[in-house]
Amino acid sequence: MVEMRDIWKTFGKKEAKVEALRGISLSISQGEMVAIMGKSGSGKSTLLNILGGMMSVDSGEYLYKGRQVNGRCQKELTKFRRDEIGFVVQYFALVDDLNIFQNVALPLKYQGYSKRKIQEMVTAALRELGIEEKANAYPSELSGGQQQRAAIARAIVKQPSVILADEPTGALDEATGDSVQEIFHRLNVSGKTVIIVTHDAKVAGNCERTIFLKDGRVEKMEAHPFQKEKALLQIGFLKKGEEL
Amino acid sequence: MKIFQKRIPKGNALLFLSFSAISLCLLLIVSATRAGQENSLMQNNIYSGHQKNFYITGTEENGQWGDVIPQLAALQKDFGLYVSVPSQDIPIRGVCLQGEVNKPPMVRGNFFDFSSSWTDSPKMVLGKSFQNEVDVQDGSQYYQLDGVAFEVIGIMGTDQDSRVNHMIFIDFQSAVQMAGINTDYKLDTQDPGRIREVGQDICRLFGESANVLMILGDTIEVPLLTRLLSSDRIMGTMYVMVLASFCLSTILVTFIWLRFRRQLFFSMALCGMEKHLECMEIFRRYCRVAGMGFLVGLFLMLALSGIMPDIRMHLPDIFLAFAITMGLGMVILLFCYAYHRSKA
Amino acid sequence: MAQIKFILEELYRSFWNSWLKDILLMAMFCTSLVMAVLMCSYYFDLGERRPSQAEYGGSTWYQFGVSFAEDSSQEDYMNSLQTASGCRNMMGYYDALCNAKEHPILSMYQEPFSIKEAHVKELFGDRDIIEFLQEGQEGAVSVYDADGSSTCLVRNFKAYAANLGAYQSLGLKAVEGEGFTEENLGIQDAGDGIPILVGYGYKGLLSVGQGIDVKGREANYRCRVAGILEKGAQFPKSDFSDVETVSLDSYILFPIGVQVENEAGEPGILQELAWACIEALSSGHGIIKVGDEKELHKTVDAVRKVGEEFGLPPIKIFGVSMGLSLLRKESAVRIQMMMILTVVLFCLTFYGLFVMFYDKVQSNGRVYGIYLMNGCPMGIILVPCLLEVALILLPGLLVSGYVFAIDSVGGSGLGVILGTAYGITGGAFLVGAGGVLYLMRGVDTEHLVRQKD
Repeated sequence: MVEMRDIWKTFGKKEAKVEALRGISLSISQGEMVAIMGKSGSGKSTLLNILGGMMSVDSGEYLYKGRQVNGRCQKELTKFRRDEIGFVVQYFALVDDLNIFQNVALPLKYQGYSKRKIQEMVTAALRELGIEEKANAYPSELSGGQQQRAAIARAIVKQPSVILADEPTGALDEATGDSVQEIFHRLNVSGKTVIIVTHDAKVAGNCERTIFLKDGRVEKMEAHPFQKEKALLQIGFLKKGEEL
Repeated sequence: MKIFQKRIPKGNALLFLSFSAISLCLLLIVSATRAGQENSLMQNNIYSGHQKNFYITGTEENGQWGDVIPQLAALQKDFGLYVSVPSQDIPIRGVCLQGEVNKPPMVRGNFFDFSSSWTDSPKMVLGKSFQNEVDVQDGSQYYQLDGVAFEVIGIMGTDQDSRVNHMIFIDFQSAVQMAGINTDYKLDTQDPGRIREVGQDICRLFGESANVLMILGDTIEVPLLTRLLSSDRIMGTMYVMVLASFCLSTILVTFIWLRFRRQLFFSMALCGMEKHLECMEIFRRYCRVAGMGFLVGLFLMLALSGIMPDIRMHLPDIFLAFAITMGLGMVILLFCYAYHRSKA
Repeated sequence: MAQIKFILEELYRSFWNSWLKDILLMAMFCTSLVMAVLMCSYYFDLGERRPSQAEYGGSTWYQFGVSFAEDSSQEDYMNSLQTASGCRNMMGYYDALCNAKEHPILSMYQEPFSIKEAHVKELFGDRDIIEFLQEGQEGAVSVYDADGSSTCLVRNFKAYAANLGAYQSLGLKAVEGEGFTEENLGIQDAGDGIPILVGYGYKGLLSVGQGIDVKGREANYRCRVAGILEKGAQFPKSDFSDVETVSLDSYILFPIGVQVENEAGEPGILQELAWACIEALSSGHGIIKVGDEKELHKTVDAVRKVGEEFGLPPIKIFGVSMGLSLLRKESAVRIQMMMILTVVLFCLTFYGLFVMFYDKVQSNGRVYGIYLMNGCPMGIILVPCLLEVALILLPGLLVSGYVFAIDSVGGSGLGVILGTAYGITGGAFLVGAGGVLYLMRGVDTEHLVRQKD
């Protein structure tokens, strides 16, 4: 589904030049749940931004469903991000002045949906995340976990194929982080490809595969083939003894 | 901040207050300008306020103006010459106009221009109190004055009763025939700086053939700032300062407002909202607040005009102030948004 | 030294991050301050231009006048001399000022009385008249006649001009004939002769009712001796505020404000009379009664209304504040509107300043937290903010100082005007600084450091 070939990305000029990504090549299949790990400055967030069409590449190829993404104009990238990607960030990126309903409905604005349709889609997303009753509350009135759920609801309201999460549990305590992690698993089971950038080994360990970045390069990849079953068991999707 | 359980976004209060203030300011200025114009009309009839009186003596040839005026018209783009016609009841003025000169408000038809004011055929503009006394012949209107049938080319007047409603203007040649050349005149131009030049031309064109008694005064060079702060100009200067300040404040407030919209911009980018839709959303929010600010400003203005009866509001003033407020707001928002995007 | 360096660096950093907003605020404050000073000067009568008052009849009177140099008023007056209607209008304007119930004016000026040499011989024969002649002009002087085309010899007699109010206020009396009265200052036509009074020294030389032909500026006209003043009648030497007086015994007293009943064809005699009115309204030649000094603006407005009625610029009253002087041609309503605008602008400037600093403090919270965490005292963090407030307000002070100091706009009361500007700026600084301190109150280091960017 996602394929990257020899991606290079540099920031700055002359003495301040920094090579954030150096010849990254990877591929992610549809329905996979992948973690990208690495220390600070390894290029994780840059990679995620490129995956989400938020940033262009200096060289290399980025293919999504077999079609080239790099080289597209801003308008096309925006459309790509709107239609295919759901973004979740560490500090939620909710608008304080809008209530949760309005925040989740933001991606649907000006897309030609009727009010009723928007109501339906937002309510469905909030229900899926278990915060339907918080629709009229404002972000500052919610806990960290609830805010992150709201952010995830916004990311999935348009049913994107890929969810990109940049340190989604970074601002949360362990218990809340686990519950958010569970949500990602559920989304993955429903068919979405989930890519999580994290420095938390526990979060990475719960994914099917972990890509380790070091100094802008892929250092290694680790597969966790039984993680999916384990996670599904935990969330009650699978009964004990049942197989995928 | 919450009002009626609805959170007021940061920066909206400042924007709202700014637009309330700017719309109040514009409404006051528009109203004052209109009142000033009406007042000027009442005080000066149709004159600008800086008109010059002059007198001609020492000639019996009424036709001398026939030599002077065509030459004057060739030299000067804008001027107005007025002559009083002796009359028992009705103020009658002869007029010769060219270009941009103060004209009275018209009810119907047109006021004089050069071709209609300097002509062999008698023409007239009547005050509206006389409009029922005209005769219609062959599709044209006529009014009899001293046995002469004047073609009425327009009716002038104001809603409020003023001197203009009870005056008559006739073409210059007819007026000089009636009053004689040795009489007093008024010279007017819209630009006070030009009047000296036009007066000098008149004196020069008459030359030795008649005495033209006109005091033009010497031009005293004063620094610009002194001129702007003189009692003649101080109010205009202050209005300009106020308008400029409110423009600057709107720019500042818009910058601050856009800065408070950071979260919204980021969220919209995350959600993949297109730039033009983002722009539309920003403009929509801005216009909503600006519009509400204008309404409050209007309300305050109406309250003021209730307390101070000398301040009067007219519907066209409101529309004009609204157009300027929103137009200015849009231009400033466009500029600030473009700057914001260029920095992003 | 290190602390000063830190403060300056912080100030530079903070200013550079928001230089555009700072400049906008500076410009707004400049305008607000200039307008606020002007309005304060108007409403609180701050900053006298030229204190010059007189006390007559137990009331306070202020000098007034117009001059070419200051604005176009005198030229506008002169312009009215060109037509008969203009002259009458001017005379009517002067009359209205003289007879204003609450703010009447008194006028006087000194101007020689010119009589043609031939007529002097007719009047005085060979008698010695040197004491009555203008000092330094005891002989005949060659001047242009009123028609402007020929010259003639004239003798210039010492004379003062005064209006009825001045005549009465100075307690002048006629021992023969009558003094100036409302009745005799209204004449049917020029042929009646303008009534003049002569000093006691003329007794025996001129008699009551005697006609005198005068060479005027624009026309020759006839005067009639209405009365002979009492011996030793005193008159101020130069103007009403002058304590030094002269005896009128050898003077002629010409009336200002004579009204002519019958319509004159050419301006002629009307010009002479109107000219006298203009001269009386010129700088320093008159005083106006001011009721309550605390309500000078009412006097200024009353004078403006008279001007508006006659379509002539209002006289300028000296000794009033800069604001009253500059705004004397504006109606009270327009000034009130400008006051509202000034207040609104001022409030908006302050609110903008507060919000800008609110945003600044919010967005720099993490930075402040780091400074505090590393041992920097709170005061050192506050000082750059306060300096930035001062930096925003300072140009306003300089601009207003320049604006009011140039070309005597602020006049002799410049100190008060600048003091007002300093006071308002100081108040603005306190409000701005207070706002910054309020925003930084109860700062929690840990909270600041945890604050997300």
